[in-house]
Amino acid sequence: MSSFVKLLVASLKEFGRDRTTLSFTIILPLLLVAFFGLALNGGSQKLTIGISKLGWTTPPMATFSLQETMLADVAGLQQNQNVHTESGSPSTEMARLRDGTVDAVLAYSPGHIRLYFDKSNGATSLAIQSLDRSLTTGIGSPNRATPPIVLDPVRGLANSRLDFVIPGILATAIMWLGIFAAIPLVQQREQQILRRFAVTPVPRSRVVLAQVASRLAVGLAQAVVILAAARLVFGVPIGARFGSGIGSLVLVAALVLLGALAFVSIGYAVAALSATQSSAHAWAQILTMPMLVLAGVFFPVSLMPAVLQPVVAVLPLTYLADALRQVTMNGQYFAPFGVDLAVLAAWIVGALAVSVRFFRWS
Amino acid sequence: MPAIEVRDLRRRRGDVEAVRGISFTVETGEIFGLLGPNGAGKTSTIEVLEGLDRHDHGTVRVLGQEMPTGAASVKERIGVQLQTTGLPRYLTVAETIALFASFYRQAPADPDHLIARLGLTGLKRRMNSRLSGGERQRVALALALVNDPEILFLDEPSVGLDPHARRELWAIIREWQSSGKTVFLTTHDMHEAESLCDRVAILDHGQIVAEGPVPALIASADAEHAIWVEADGVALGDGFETDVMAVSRVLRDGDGVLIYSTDAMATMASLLELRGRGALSFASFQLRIASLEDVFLRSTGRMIDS
Repeated sequence: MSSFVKLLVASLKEFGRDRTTLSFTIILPLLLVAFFGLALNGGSQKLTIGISKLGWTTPPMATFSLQETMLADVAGLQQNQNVHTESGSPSTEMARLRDGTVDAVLAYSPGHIRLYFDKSNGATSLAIQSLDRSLTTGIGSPNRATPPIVLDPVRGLANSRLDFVIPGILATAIMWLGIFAAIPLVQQREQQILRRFAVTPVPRSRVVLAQVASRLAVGLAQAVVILAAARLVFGVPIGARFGSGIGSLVLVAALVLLGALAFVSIGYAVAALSATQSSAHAWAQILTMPMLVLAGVFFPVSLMPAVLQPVVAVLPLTYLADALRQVTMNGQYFAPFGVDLAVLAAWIVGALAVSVRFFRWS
Repeated sequence: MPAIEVRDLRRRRGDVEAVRGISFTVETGEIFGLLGPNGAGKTSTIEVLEGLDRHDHGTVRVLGQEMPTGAASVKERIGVQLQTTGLPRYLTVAETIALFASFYRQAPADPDHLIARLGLTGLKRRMNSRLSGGERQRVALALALVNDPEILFLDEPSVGLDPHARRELWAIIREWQSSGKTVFLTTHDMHEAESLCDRVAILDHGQIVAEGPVPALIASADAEHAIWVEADGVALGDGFETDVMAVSRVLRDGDGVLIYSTDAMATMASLLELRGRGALSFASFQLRIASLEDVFLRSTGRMIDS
């Protein structure tokens, strides 16, 4: 067993000392977190909405018929801790919207409500439009006793682009980690290091298991670094559907291990099918690049044209990103959680079958 | 019990029979060399002995164990240096040696002793990727010796080494043998076989064409003297030797001709006499001291590197 530990430690050392792999697996994902965090987080996460009870002077962006109960909804809005409200005259509030002090102005009177917001501000614009949707939904249902305006999704949306992207970045990092595991393996074969192992009593399975274990350990480290950065720097929460407790962390860890196993298997299949390091490199690029675009890591796959949907639906990255999102954020998911797990498991089985069938030791 | 026993070993590589029924025995404590040109079947043979490959036919015993069934236990007791020596790039010398030491049930008492013996003490903390060719070779040798093996296998050990590094390597191998261990090596280098090996088997086209202790083999070749005749620009025509005395055989190689003679004095005298009266034209000749090269020539009719 001590040879397993030695192989594992050696593999981790080789990983840590190779700047190329290190930058691909840790530094690049962290840069992505930083880029997206700065681009999407855009300052305050709190919406500031100016509320005015009087009339208005500029043309409205949206007009609603306001029923009596809507007044209570607006009162609910005032109570939401993620929305800061203030009251003032229409002219003051509109001036404050123009200079950016408030994100939107909600002007209502019995029978009508108008919502003004700055279209050029992408992040708040998205949030306000969703607020607008939730207001419309509330109005649409005929038998509502209490106003069902749920402000949670509004808050969620304010943060949601980043909430959405972070699990995608983590999934991408795991994909790179796993598929690029092909390169050192092919290198070890080319340089006869695998053959050198084969003339010692150490079993081949132990050599492979130690390398897989080291990749899984790095996968967990990636998750810690990426999620901690997202949490500490940009306040992205971990754990939504399953709560934010230790259970969610365990679930994230389990998913990271499953995902890393799936992509390491694919990496080994690549190594099995590649005769040289450069062909392994080419295959790794050919597999990872389209997934980066098609698997919905940076934007929802629903935005993808229908013709690409069948492709999207077979990519392992789609399911790993989706499964991680189910644990870390609220919102629309691509597939049921069980389906995510099943597809990842199927990829593991398929890729391992290819590796075992085609892998050559020398 | 001999260290290695091989009887009628055959190994096919695709359509070619790389090893065509060879037999030999390596005694404990000797340095045995398998000598032959590239493609003679040396590597195919050594791979079967090391347990890297299985043979198609014949009996192979290493340390009394039938191969390949006994490979697992044999691997505990042998040390191997492959022809190409790849070392993990991002490990230090000491880390690499410790890693390989962990593969064996009987760990070496003191890897530092081995490191010192191979002159690697100053390189312990150096990355493998920063080693010179000779240093890599010594690390590879350290890995092969890390389990204090009973047999050391070396496949073309001095390929790519400068003369200094090569002499260093030979010294280490000899010192190691002096503790009663067995060495099995392959080489296409006559000089290496002559200076290092106690006994050699000459392999050509998958068959052993000569085998025995190095001095005895050379002595057998020495029964005939070899005289190398260098042409002076005009190639020596076929049948030029008909008037030369005491010629037993003639071998052509490049610009020259190697004449085997039963009486060197008579042959040289008649060469000079024929040249003197203009019957024969050549630049020079020299009497060759017999070497394994001559053994190979006699057995195969070719020079080893041609």
